[in-house]
Amino acid sequence: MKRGIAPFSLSSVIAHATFLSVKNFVASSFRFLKAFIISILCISVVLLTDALIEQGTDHLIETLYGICAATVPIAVIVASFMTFFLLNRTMTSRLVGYGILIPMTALTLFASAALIRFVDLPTEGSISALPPSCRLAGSWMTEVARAPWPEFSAGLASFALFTACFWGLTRLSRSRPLLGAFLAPSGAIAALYLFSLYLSGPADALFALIGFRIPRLMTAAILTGASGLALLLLDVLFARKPSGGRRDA
Amino acid sequence: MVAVALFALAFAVGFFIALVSIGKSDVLFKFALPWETTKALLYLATWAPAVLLVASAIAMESSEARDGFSGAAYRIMMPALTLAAIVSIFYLLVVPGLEERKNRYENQSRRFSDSLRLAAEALKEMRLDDAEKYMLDCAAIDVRDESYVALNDRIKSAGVKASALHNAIPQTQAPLPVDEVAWKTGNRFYLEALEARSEGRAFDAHYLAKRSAAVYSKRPEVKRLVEETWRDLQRLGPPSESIVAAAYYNRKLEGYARFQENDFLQAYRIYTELGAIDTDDEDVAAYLARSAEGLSSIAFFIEEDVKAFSSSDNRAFTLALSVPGGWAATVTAERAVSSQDAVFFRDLILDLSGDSPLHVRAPYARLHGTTLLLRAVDRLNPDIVWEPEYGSGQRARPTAGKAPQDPGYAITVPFNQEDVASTLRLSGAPEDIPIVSLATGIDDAERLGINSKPLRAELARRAGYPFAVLTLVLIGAGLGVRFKPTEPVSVAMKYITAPLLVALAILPLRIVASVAVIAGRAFAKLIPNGLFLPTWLGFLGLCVVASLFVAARIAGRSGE
Repeated sequence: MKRGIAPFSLSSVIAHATFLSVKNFVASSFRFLKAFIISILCISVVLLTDALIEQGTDHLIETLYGICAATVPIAVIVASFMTFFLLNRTMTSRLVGYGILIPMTALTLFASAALIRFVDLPTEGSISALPPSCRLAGSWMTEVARAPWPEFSAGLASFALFTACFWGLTRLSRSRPLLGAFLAPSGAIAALYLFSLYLSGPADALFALIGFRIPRLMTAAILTGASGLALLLLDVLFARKPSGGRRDA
Repeated sequence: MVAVALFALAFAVGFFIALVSIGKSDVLFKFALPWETTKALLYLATWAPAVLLVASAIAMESSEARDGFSGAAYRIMMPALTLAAIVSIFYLLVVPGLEERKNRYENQSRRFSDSLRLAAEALKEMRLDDAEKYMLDCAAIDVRDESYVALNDRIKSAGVKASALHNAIPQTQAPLPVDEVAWKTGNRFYLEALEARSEGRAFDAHYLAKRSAAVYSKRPEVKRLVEETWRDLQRLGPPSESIVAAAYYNRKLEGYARFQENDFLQAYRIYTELGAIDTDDEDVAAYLARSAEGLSSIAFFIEEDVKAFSSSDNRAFTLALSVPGGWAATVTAERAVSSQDAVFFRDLILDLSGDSPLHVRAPYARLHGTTLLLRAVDRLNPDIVWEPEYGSGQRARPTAGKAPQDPGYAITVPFNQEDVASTLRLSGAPEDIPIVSLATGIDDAERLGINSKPLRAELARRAGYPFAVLTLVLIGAGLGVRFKPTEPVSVAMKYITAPLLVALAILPLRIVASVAVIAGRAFAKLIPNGLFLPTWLGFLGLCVVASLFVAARIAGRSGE
């Protein structure tokens, strides 16, 4: 008697697909969190060392806490960009990828901001320990964490969207995945610079020019959110779908 | 091949950037081409790590090996590792010299412009001595510059006019001490007597010599001239040629007498004057050389200073050394430069305390061994001498009489040329210091009171470069394996995208480099001097091992 492979039932296929999706979700989330924690620790240690060499400090724990708080946006950007590559290998749908990435980024940001909001430790003094190009983003984090709830929510959600939507950058060329790998670090730096630009005076002035009088954190949230949507559109128009294959950047 | 093409392109782009930015840098036309070339090479050195990263990634991306990182790494990466070694050697041995050259071109150009401006201001205010001094600074840098030539002509012309005015209305001068007035008047008669004698006007010569002696009787040469001109008169009808020859001979004798009295400057002046009259006189040539040799013990020729300042970068100088309970020396100079033979100073102030305290300022000074010469002489016109000024209440300015306690123009100082050269070398920008001086000079720096932490941080940065390029080659290889395309990349596409990848890598690598600088500074601050280098090298070795694992892990993901 000829031995054959027993056909899978529909329910087992669905169960298997669900298992894979959950597995991918968990793996991506774990990768994001791992990258976030490692990034925040590494960046904080480097900046703390620099601060200790340059100025010295009497309040080591407070300084470290302040630096950790200020470097959350940078760590979120780094973690997102490191997760992009795992998503490229495991996802075949943009929607699912963004569905994992945006909530993950937002959750991390909200959790960090809540910690800053409810643990009453001074953080402002540590901003000077950051490199000049990162100070705006660093002070934004501590400012938005203590802002009224609408600005708190809008600011963090828009930043999460903005960061996650750089994913398309790593999928610009499937024939040359190396290009995506080299674009990613520059993309992360560009994200930080662009965000700092939205927090700067000229961005506020733009709103004032067209007659809107809204708080600075809200103008930054609007610009960041709009940029995130623009990046999403660029992904749809120009980037390739993630193939879920090993050769995709 | 991609790496070589990228290096060539990096040089070309660097040269273009230098070409475009030369207007803002204010570099002199004389230095334009070497400055641009140096800048291009420095850009090349800055971008070399990114080039190696990309070259390594492309090499592995295009390789046929399908067995992961380790299988292909050794074979394909050998050229990349060789290139990394060459780049490291270039960075360690050549780049500091290039940095120093670039800084020298920029500093000298800036100094030339500043000195030219100050000279123009001094001319406007008729401070001709100051103007001449500033022009000497310019001359050390570029004598062919059009603006220099034009201003120099104006200053010379103003000098001639001022001199003519001075001769025409001597009464406008401030009254001089009686003795000095007498000396000057006597000297004028003396010079006129010499002139009359050389022209064969024997009576005039004797008459003027007598007048000179009557006005100021303390000069032995005047008395001698009186006797000689009297003897000339007593001779009957001598031909004028003989008189001229005799005067020449007597001048030679006078020079010789000065030489015998160790008045080398006067002897040098006389023989220079005679050398201009008869270039074939062997005695004059011989004693001119001997006078110059003798003069070198109490003065130096300004051309040595000019040559040293024109061929090397110079900077403000401060050195403070002391022995507890003994002497203390403080030397400051507006600028100082070290050459093979000596260290030259401009606007030097020396303070010595201890058994023989001394305060002296000198516009020019030269240190060889432990001998500091404080007087400079113009070789072609030895009447121009730059003298030191001694502090009031201390030792008097040297005179012909030479008081026994007089320190003279050559002072033996309690520090040596090597100390000063080391201070100069180690107190400049750390990135200009050669690796050998950096590695061996940290103890000297601490002895000489220079902060050694920036030097150690620079040594850490420099020592980290070979490790960094090695790490980048490994990471690049890992990326190449990990992001291998499904279809082979065409050669044209490879060459077109390679510069783009380099451009994308530059900024992130700069951020990583700044982290490495912080690590280097932390080691420099926290680790004691003796353990610093081994500890740092050990740390870098660990980083390379870690990067090997990271590269293998990145590459390993290709099989996931």
